[in-house]
Amino acid sequence: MIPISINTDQAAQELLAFSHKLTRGINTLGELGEIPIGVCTKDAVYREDKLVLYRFHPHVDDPHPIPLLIAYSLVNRPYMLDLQEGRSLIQGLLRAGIDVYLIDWGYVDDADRYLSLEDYISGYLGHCVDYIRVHHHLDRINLLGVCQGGSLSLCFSSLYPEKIKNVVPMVTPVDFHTPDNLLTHLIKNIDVDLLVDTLGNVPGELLNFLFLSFNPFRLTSQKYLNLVDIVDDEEALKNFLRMEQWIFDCPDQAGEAFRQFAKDFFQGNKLVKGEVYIGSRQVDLKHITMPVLNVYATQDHLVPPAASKALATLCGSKDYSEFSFEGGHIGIYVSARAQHQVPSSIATWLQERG
Amino acid sequence: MAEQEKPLDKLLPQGQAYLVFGEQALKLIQGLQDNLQTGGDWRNALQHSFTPIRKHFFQSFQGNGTHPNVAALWGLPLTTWQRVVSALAIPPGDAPQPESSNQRAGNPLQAALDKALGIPTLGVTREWQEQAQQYGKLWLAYQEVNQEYHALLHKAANRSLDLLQERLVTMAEEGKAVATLRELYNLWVDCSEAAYAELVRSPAYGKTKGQMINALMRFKSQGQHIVDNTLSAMNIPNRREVNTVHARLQEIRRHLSRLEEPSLARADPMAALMTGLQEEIKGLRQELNTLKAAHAPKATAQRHRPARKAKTGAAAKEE
Repeated sequence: MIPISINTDQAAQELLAFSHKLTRGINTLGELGEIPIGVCTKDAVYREDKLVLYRFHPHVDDPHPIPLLIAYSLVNRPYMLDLQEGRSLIQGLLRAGIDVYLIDWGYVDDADRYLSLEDYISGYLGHCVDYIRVHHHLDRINLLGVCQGGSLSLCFSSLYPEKIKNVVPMVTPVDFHTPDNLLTHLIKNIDVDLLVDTLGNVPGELLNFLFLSFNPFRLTSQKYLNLVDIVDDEEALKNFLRMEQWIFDCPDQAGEAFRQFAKDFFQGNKLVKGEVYIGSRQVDLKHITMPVLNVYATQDHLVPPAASKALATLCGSKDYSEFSFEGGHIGIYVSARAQHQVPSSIATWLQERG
Repeated sequence: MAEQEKPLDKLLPQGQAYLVFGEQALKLIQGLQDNLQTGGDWRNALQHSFTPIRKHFFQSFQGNGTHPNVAALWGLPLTTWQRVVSALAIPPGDAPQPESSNQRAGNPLQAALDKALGIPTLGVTREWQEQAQQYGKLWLAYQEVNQEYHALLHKAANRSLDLLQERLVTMAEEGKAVATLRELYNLWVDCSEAAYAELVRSPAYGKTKGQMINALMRFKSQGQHIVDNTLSAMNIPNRREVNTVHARLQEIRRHLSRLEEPSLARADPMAALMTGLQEEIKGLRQELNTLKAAHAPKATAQRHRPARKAKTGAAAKEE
């Protein structure tokens, strides 16, 4: 049997039909206008430089007494956690009775170039934690860190264990040298000092290029052809466009913070060795003695499960749990299955610990 | 931060690229049918039909950096990289594209440039000349490593054709056939991704990619150096000076922040008292532990083993 049963007339018809759909798609996209992002109501409660700390309106009358602060990664934007109705980790947490705060780091500019990891961790993150502690008259609050935000949260929990009741690292890299870590493979040969000395802040375009390097043909070509297939479905189109906006909404990275993160975490793998210094203070994961819920995704191509699970033997907590989600790095926030499994599991785990 | 490209800006070129793919696929199908009509085996016919595509690939990779015709797909990694280079260019905008070794070899201007970069510098402006020469040399160094990257991509592109051929043969053996252009396109994307994934995971790719970024940074750094010196000569503040100011400002902010630390506690005297007491207890505990450790007999000291860590949730269920 011949493996291609397309005749030329049929192929020509297919191309003609595609070009009609493409024209229709271009018209539809032009008419869609602004796509709303975010579903949960929130208030800005604290600001510092470009950082904004938001508190979401609780969904229950008597929320859990210990608030949860979410620290998102410095790469990409935190609205991924509250994208739209039915695709919102935050909505799930609020419905489960959690009082949720979220840090928006903002977009750095040239004046922020010398922000270091110490400024982010002991400064911005620490100030947000202190604000919530004071506001709620609490010694300790719950902290959830996402991806790189998880690494920063682990550093904070190690340096200030007296301020954190429970910590939830989510798709968080801990061991950066697992064999399947593609990001490390791509970063290890880059002269980070030269890069930061030359560019100052590291442009989002460069980071995007690294992420697109994983699936260049699917992410830069095929998905746009799939877009043509859904031009008549306005809701599907809007969903696509929300994700599209998020994927390419990649803020520049403050130069000095990037330098330390790339060199110490990616290249030197110092977090697992206890050799990371935040300012003059050494980060020892054994100082993380509070309960830990390590959430990871089994098909995560950016943070392989092994990179996250390394925390099990490195942290000092006697109450260490893991939650594995069968999905990828993005699916863990936005997939339909994630909405049912992830927020409720986190909320239950937190509520069980008072 | 550069402005985000609109989906519309991506849809149109990718749609056009698909139409180009369609044209190429039609040629492949036509070639396959022509080869079959001569009475040969379909495997040979398939092999013959792929030959012009391979030739086309070779020619495309010998061309310049845009590669609009590399089967409308393998130009994408190069285009994406070119966008990064453009975003980092001085001045911002479309950066010049590296030329292939073939283009350079046949370009008289390029030959003149190569020669000029080797001329010894003389006179009062000697340092300026040297800087400009260095700038040119660094661009050539970037071009060289860029060519290595092209060569790797070319190899992977050929590998993707091998995979496509293999997949088509397997399908035929299983009694299956590609029935639409879109199916053929999706198969082509799958094979390209598989070939690219092999490439990206290779040590050669990691090394070349790193070298390419480093070479681009050296080039850009030299450009900045020249711009800084020019601005300085014109008594206009330059990047070096702005960096110094920013660094000093950030240091002052840190210092101020440390001084202001207690102000947050002052907002809530009870919290301040609690924090103070906690710190005191922590200090006393540390002191006690130090004393205990100092008086503990060494012979009986045992290594503390942490309790076995519990697993809950899906991970626990899996076990």
